This record gives sequence, structure tokens and C-alpha cells, in this order.
Amino acid sequence: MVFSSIPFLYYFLPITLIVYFVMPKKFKNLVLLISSIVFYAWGEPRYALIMICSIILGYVFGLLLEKFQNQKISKLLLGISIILNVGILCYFKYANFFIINFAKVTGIPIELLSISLPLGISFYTFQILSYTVDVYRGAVKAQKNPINLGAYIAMFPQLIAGPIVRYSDIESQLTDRSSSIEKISEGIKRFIIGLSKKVLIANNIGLFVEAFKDSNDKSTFYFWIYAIAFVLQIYFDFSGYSDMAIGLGKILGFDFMENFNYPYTSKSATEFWRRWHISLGTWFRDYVYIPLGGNRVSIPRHILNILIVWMLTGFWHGAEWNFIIFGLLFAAVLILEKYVILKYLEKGKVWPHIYLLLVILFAFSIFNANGITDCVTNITGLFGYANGTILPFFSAEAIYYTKSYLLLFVIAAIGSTPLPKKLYSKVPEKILTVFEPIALCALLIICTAFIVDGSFNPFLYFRF
Amino acid sequence: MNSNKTKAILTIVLSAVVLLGLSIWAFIKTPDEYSESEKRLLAQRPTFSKENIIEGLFAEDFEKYSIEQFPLRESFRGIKYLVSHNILNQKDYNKIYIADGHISKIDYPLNLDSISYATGIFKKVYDQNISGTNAKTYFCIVPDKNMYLAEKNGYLAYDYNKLYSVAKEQTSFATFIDIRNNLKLEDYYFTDTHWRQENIIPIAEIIASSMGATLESSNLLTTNTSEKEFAGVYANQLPGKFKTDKMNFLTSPVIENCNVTIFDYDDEGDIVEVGKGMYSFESQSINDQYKGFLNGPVPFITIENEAASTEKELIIFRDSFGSSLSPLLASGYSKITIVDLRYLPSDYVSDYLLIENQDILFICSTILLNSSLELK
Repeated sequence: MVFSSIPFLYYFLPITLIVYFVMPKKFKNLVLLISSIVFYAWGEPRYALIMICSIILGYVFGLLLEKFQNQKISKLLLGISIILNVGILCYFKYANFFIINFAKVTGIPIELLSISLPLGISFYTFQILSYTVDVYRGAVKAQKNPINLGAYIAMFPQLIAGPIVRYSDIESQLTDRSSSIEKISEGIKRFIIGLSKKVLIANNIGLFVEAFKDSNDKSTFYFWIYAIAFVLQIYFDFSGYSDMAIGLGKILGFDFMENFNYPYTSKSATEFWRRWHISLGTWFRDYVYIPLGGNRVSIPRHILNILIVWMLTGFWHGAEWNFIIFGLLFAAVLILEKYVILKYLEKGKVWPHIYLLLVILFAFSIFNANGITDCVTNITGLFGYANGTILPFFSAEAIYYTKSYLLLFVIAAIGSTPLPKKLYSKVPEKILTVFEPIALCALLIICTAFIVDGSFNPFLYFRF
Repeated sequence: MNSNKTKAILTIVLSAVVLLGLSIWAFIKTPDEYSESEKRLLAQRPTFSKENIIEGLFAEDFEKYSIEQFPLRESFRGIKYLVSHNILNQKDYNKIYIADGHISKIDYPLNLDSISYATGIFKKVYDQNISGTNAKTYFCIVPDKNMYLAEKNGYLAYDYNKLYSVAKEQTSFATFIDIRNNLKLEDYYFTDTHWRQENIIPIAEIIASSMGATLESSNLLTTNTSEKEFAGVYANQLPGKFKTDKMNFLTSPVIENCNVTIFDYDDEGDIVEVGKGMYSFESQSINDQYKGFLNGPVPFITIENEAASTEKELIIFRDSFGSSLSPLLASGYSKITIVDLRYLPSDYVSDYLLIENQDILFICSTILLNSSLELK
């Protein structure tokens, strides 16, 4: 189930919230766990069992790691726990990728596995990993109550698209969280803003992106607009979903970490990754980069560490070569910045922004490709050459769709900066007291109208 | 109470009213059966069974049901149209656009594979049934109104000349009749894709004369107007009220005296006689006025003109544009047999037709050529 759907908004959410608020405090986590399993099992009931197994594994290993803390066996237990969790993820997400590439290299034909990717497996696996590692390190205590741990791992607001919530961040909130009218209202506001970002902007720009992909009338200009459109789409899609998750968390009394902080206003890729998908970046930093030695090693080793972390980060996004290239491109840029240009970027005013926007334009053109060939086409198309032919600069289709979506692109571009928030903060509080609730309801109704009108509602991070 | 608290309470109350109000309404609402705007049946509440749930089919069906049966669905579509068209300034709404008083749908891009598929079906019919006989074969393409409307108003349009040249080249077995320059935007309904019968008398004459047939004088034709309002196929696809069309149809002594027999499939899948008559505009079962011409989409029709001064017969392989054209050709032939290859598969044509020396006319619109998978 996705948040931007009628079954979620008008069936699941009202029922869940009513039951959640009616129940006494001691049963709230149980309600959360059951509703999260229903939410997860809605579209793919079979895979709910895999998630439940992962939760049980996390629970058992958490207890064992605590029991045998600081003993030799704890390392072994942690290793087994990691292998099991990563093994499940690899089987469902990467097995066919490895089979295809093994077959290509060796020429041995191997039948592909008939499996599809369970929703949100990348997200909940990382949450379980961080929990067990933190218990092993003694950073958190093992959760004795399986319902509480289940509620943390399966919690529907962040289950299928993050943010990757650390157990250490919400350990205390699982048993003792506060709710207030202001917090619920803030949650509603955040949820509706996220829904609007997703439904009104991302999905709408997605139609442009789809039109480009289906087009037989491509031009250089069209490739550029497409690349810009996708950069905007993915930001509003993913950050909108994160806003909805954070908003729902607040309604339920939780405080999740922020996942985006105006990433497109960055002046370097280094800064970009501090502002984009923050929960993933910090996860890799704390559980891969630092254990590898981080930057307190020799330069060659440091470069290797960066390459490993960013290759894994790319691979985390999907089992395709273009995601690995996406990660490695960022690794190369980050190394270049770290050792050569970061000091200049930090001093610059305008050109670092242009530099960063070009980097992400190329990076997301690779990210959005459907395999290596498409990846090459997306890049060469920006230089007027695609599929063996020189492209015209303009095409009728490019002009038509650009005109049709121009205002939306402008709104999205401005919306990806802090400007709207700054302007909004200047509105007198008296006006906002009435205007804001009405505007939020109007947005909810408009989002509903867009959902009801169209069946186009893919979620880009759904399968990651 | 401070303003923050007031704002918070208002936010909770208003959003709860919207969310719970629509939610309760969605729960208790009796499902609609039919959508007038889409002219189709709507999804109904899915069956709740263990198998459906395990396979994930229940969720899929429920998603469809919940959207299609959502309270105030048409009003919500209106809001979406208002926002995307008036606020976001988007040029079309689900490919539908308004220009020069007409509602039309963007038909783009040109699908060469589809054209080849359609002409391939026509060629198959020719090879299996016509080749080697004394029949003369003709091919005519009806341009859709986008040809006269889209490009000049800044909407996407494919290269019609290319479509014509490709289709003509692939139907070299037939004599091509070009009517492009004899039509104009005014010859089409404002709210529908089709042409107006009262405006295509010259087209019927061009086609007939190309085939060596002589039609009755146009002076003998009388224009009649259906009492029912005609909201064409595009009228309801745009939320809100737009002007409707007048449905005119032409009669003459010849047209009125023709013996018209409509054939369609029965419950067993056999083609049987289902009706009589050239027009059925006043029939209660007609939910789309254009279906009043020759009973709309059916596989097979015969028009017998006993008063004809000629023995010539005509077989028309047509789409819906042929429904309003065929009555106008009736005076030039003793019998017209009309076949719709979307409903009568090309492999079965020989079961229903014996072709010897008739005139054969393949006539279809650019819309069908560009999206021809319905042809069998």
C-alpha cells in the first residue's frame, strides 16, 4: 500500500488512527504492529512472512548479543545475524543480478529465480542491522518485548521508503512517547505537504518523464529538459514520501530524523550527501565507512574506503549496473572534492551551485537509466547524439511538453529551495491561524482529486 | 487560547472532517454501475476470499474499486481539471484539449507498426477473398479532426502526409481515394471524433464517382434532427459542462425504403440478425447518439436497395466513420454489405461473403490506422 492511494488515505489511515487513539497506552504498540503488518501484507501477503521472520531473527539475535556481550561468541553471533539478514536481502534483491552476470561472463546458461523484490526490504533490513550492531556495541539495550521491536521494525510510516530510523533514536519513544494537539497538528501538516509534493508535483512531472521515454521525437533540448525533470521528480517523490513518513510519525507520537535538507542548494557533492537521503548516508557512514577506518587511514586506503562505501550505496538503490555506476560516479566526485576542489567550492558563490547541479543532472541521468545502453543514451543525448544518430536541437514534442509543464517545473525548482519556507515565515501569525488549516484541507482535497482522476501513481523508491 | 493552539485545533478538526467524512461516505456509498463520462462499467466491490487475498488480487481489485467508486468522483475530476488547466497551465487534460470550440484528443505519435498491422489485415482480406475475382478494390482514409485542429493550435500532431503515403504504399492492391482536401474542421462534431453526416454529401459523391457509381441527387436528401441531445465521446471526458452537438441525419425516399438488416453476435457467439433499419436515434438503448447510424459497432450489416437502377453491389470494410457514410452510398448500389473487421475477424470473412464482381471499399479513419490492434 502506498500513502498516496485511496485505500490508504480513506480506509486504512482513518481506521488505524481511530483504533490507535482509542486504545490504552499499553496496547498502542500492538496496534501499531498489527496495522503495520496489514499495511505491508496488503499487496503482497506472502512477503509479510519474510518480514516477520526478519523481525524474529532481529529479536532473538538482539537478546543473544546482549547476553553474550563482550564474550568471544558475540562476534560470531553478530556475524551470523549479519549474514542471515544480508543473505535474505541478497537473495531477493541481487540473486538474479548475479546469475545474469555470471551467465554472461562464463557463458553457462542458468535459469533465473522466479522471485520479486519484497517491498521495503532494503529499509527494514538496514534497520535490523543497525539494531543488532548497536546491541553488539553496547550502544543500546536489547529490546525484551517482541511487540515493541516489531513495532519499531515494521512501523508503517517508514516501512517501505524510509527514513531508515535507528533503534537508538526511538528506543525511548517506543515505551514512552508524548502526544499533543500541536504535535498531531504538525504531523498532519507535514503529511499533507508531503502528499502534495508527491501527488501534485512528482507524479505530474512523472508524466513528462514517461512521455519522454515513450517519445520517438527526441532532441538534445528534450534530453536536457528530461534530465532536469527527473532531478525534480525524484526529489519531490522521495522527499515527499519522507515528509509523509515523518508527519505520520508525529501523529503517532514519534520523532523521526529528517531525511532531506534542500539538497539542490548544495555547493558540492560532499554537502549534497549531507542533505540528501540523510538516513542512508549516515547509516553507511556509521556502519560501513567508519568500521572500514574512515579517513583515519592512508590516502590509498581512504580512497578505497570511499569507493567501497559508494559502490555499496549505489548498489543499495537497485540491482543494476547503472546504480553501481551512479555510486562510483559520486565516489569519484567526492574523492576529487576531498583532495582537490572542495576548498575552492566552499569559497565560490554561484559556480559551485552550477557545478553541483550538473553533477546531479548527470548522476540522476545514470540513475534513471534502464540498463547500461540506456545509461549511455541518457548521457550522450545531452550532447546531441543518441542511438547512433545526431539529434536535432529542438523537436515539436519537446517544445509542446516543455510549454505544458513549464509552470510546474518553475514551481518545483523554487519549491526545492528554502525560499517558500522563508516567505511563509513572514506571513503574520494571525492570518496563518485560519489560513493554514484551510490551505492544508484544500491541498488534501486537491491531492485526492489528482489520485481519483489518474491511476498514474508509481513510487520511485518502492522497490529499493 | 493562543493562536498556535487555535491553529492546531483547526488543522486537526478540518482535516478530520475531510478525511473521516469522505471515508465514511466511501464506506456506505452504494456503488455506481456505470460511468457516463467514460461510457463504461465501473469496478464493483471485490470478492473477499482467501485465495484472492493471498494472491494479492483483492488489494489490486480494491484499489481499482475504491478509486472508481469514490464519492463525488466527477467533482474531484473537475477539481483536477481546474488545477492542472487553470492553475498549472497545462495544455491538455489526459490528452483532451479544447481549441476553436472543438473538444479533441491528441493522437500522437505516428505508429508505423500499427499502420502496417492494419494494412496487413486489409491485404489478408484481399488475398483470401478478392484477389483473382472481378471485384474492384478501393481504399479511403478518413482524417480525424486533429488534422485540421491540432497543429495550428499548438497541440501535438503527427505527420499526416507520412501516414497517408505509408498506408497508400502498403495498399497497392487498391485504388486510393483521397478525400483530405474535401474536408474541413466544420465537418466534424464539436464534442465527438466523428464527421457530421449532413456535411459529407460531397465526400460520398467523390467516393461513389471514384468507384463508378452514381448517387441520387443531393436535393432529394432531407435533414432531420434527433430530439435527443448529442454529447459526443469527448464531451464528458472533460469535467464540467460544455456545449453539446445537434445530431442531424439525412433521409431520402431511397434511404427510407432500403431494407437494412443488422447482424450481431448472440449469447452463443453466432452472428444472427438483431435488428432492422438505417437509423435508431430515438431508441432508448442508444446511449451514444452516433450509434444511431446503422446501430453502431456491429460485425455485419446489409443494405438492400430494391429500387436501384443498377445491379452493382458494394462491400464496405469500415470503422465507425463508415456508419454515417454508408447510408449516403445506398442509392448507387442494389446492395451494400458492411463489415467491421474489429468485430468480424478477417479469417471469417469468407464464411459470410462471396466476392465476385462487387466494388470493395476499405475505409477507415486515421485514428484506427494509428491504433489498429482492434482489427482482427
